[in-house]
Amino acid sequence: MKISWGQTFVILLSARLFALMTCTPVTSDKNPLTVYMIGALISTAIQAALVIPFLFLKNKFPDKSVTEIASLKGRFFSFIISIIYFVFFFSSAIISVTRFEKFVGGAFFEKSSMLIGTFILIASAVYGSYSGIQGIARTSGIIFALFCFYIILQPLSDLNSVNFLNLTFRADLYSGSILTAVMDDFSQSSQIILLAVLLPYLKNLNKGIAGYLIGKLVAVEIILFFAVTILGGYVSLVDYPFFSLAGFAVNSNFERLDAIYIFVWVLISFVNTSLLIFALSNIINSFFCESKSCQQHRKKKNIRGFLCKFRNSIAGLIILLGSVPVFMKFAVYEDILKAITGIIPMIVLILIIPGILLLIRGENNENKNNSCPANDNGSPQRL
Amino acid sequence: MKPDAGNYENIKISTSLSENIQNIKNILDGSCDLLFNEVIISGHKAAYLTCEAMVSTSLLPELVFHPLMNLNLGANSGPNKVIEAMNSTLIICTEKANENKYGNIIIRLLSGFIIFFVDGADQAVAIGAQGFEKRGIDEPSSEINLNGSHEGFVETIRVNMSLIRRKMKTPYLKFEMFKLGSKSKTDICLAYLRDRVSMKMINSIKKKLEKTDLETILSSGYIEPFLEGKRRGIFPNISTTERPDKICSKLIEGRAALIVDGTPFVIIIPYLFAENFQTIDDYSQKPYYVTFIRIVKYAAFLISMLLPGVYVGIANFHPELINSTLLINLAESENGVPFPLALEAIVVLIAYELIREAGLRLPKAVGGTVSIIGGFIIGDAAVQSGLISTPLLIAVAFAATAAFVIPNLYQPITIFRMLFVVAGGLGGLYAIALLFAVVIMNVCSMEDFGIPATAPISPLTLKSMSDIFTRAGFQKLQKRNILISNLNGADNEVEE
Repeated sequence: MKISWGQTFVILLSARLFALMTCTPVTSDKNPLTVYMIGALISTAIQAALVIPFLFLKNKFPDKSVTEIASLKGRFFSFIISIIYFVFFFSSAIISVTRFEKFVGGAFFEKSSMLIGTFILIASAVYGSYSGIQGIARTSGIIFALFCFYIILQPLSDLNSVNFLNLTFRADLYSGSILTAVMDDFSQSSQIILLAVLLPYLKNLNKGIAGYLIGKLVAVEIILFFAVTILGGYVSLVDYPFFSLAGFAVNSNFERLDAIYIFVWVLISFVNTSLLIFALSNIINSFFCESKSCQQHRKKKNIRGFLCKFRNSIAGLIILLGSVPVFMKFAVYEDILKAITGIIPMIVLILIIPGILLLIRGENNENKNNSCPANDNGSPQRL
Repeated sequence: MKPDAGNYENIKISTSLSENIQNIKNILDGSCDLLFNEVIISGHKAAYLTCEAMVSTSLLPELVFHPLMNLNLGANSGPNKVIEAMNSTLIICTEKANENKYGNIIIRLLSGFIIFFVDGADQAVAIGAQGFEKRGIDEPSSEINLNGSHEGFVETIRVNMSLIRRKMKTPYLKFEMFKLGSKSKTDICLAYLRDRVSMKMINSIKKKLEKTDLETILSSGYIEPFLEGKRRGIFPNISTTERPDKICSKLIEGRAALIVDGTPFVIIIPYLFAENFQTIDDYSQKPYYVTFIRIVKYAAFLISMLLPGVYVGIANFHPELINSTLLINLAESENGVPFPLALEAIVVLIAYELIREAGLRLPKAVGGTVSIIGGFIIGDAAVQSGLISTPLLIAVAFAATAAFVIPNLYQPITIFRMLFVVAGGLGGLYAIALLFAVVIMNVCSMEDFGIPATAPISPLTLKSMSDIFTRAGFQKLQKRNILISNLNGADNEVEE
């Protein structure tokens, strides 16, 4: 079962919005949030260009993920590619989960244990990932509708505070900051790499990607617009500017809207984490399942069967264990994770690897491939 | 081989009348409701067998006995000629069959047919003259409506089929009969419109029905689990109705209906989550009012499931969300209560369910008294004594009342209401949001025959949205021509 272009757009956009919510843009007098509005525009244009190899891959191998395409070129090559993507998604999942917990802890539950919060989030997301890409896509559709409702509600509550004088841009002063803003937006758009795993599940990818890039740009610009016009210079003083917007929103019946804000963002973080666990479980699937006995592995009571059957739970457990050093404030570990999910690895994963896969001629034909394509819920299919 | 209760189905009948009667007696172990009489038909020894109170005593003499007693085929006619005459010359009734195996004869006998054996003939004649007592067509108690039809299904499968056929006079409407249950041999009828339904779905339903290996099927609930998809959700994705008009409206959308003999509840396959918020009255009232009522129903669903939990969560973890006047009032009310808020809420919820269950099972007169004692006296006393707070009681009562707006979802709502209270007590809105996400995920992952339960909301089918949160006018609805098989998202085919 595949998902439509609309569902592709929604799941990618949900993941992008999650990144936006937990980010803390580095702002100053010379680097105001206005610059990020321009940075988002340029970054989106760059992403549109970089995503082209994925589109070609989809065209050439409509029902294969990047790791499955790599397996056509050789088992060792496939293993290396799978490891690279696995490490990226693993790091990305840890960063997003721990950032979110820090954000929730900082904003709401200062005395609560972040590790317990992480455990609950990951446990729920593991359940979500077992629902398969269809389940995740449908859920993100509904949650996205709630988000849209929130996006309308918040500006309406904030409308009196909008000050257009804050919306200034001086090219002579800020031109140097634009590159930082572009890089910042780009580094938050790593969800495009999920396409490497999601390719076989997507229908009408071109439309989905176009929708995502436009939707992402519009959503980011709207949120940035309100952050700039409402918060003004206050942005540089707060940790989470987009969250602080909710604190400004005053309604006659609710004192503040930030609790509703957290409600919507928890839902989005659930979708994002489920998606990352789904991606990791797919790669685990490609490690441990072989073509001859994909289905049998799951039934077999051996270690490989266990890994195949519970790969989503294993992926969740790996993320949970990987989060512990972050909560223990192991700075070097955190730096390594950030480096892995940085701009250069992202370019490698979006552009270089798909490019190589397009250029190299396969050693083996498709019938000899060792991969095991996964079905809707990530479970292997009989070839 | 002598047939008995364990082995008779494929054994052919004998040409000896006495042996056949003895064999039938053996199979039924001389059950006292088995009646037989020996008669002479056109000079041949014959016998008829019936089941007591299963045949019509008024129809038998006029339609069966009188023509048979006057039958005269001449002196040289053989026993098979009598059988032939019963089939061809005599128009006794529309439902007639020749049977030569005990299996079929027993099923027909126990279904209210009259069975004729003629000495020397190798076949028996089964004549449909059923006349057992049955409930009359009445308004369904569980689906009362204001402006629509007041007809409801009854327990007799043939009557239910006729109720559908009367409303759908199209040759495309097809009924297919099955017998399920190794002991009960219950009649099951699959109804669908040939030009609307996906035949893949129909074949898949048949396959699933074949897999049932139950001894008895006494209600539609026995076979529902066999028809559900691989991922079983907490919310129902197969529903039943007592209304023939509702079944017709579903058939026109390309769904199938499964009528089970002995129950007035007809199964609709597949069923969408959004349909829990629709009633047949929606289509006989003004669209603007229906839209308003639908929004009220969706709100009622959220209120009934979330309100006590959100109250506990906000009061415990997010008091900053509430405006100061309300917050002071709440704080004052909760001040004198000796228990933690979450525990207090759970106790009140359990007490409510206890009173409801007691009121439901007792006779109507006593049930009302229990509700009054439980609701007014105990509730009032508990608040007066300071054991529970008034705002919490209001929240629980409001949530409980809201649940009755969508009766189909009462069971999952009740359980989730408790879970949300626990989540609110442990983790405030954070835990509530996560549990809510899990609930959404559970509903979203449900699908039957490839049709997602959340369709047409997610995956979004704009064309069908005119009858989900709102209800468009019939001028617009008639142009939609929506088929259920088109609601499965990315043009995926209906699953087998």
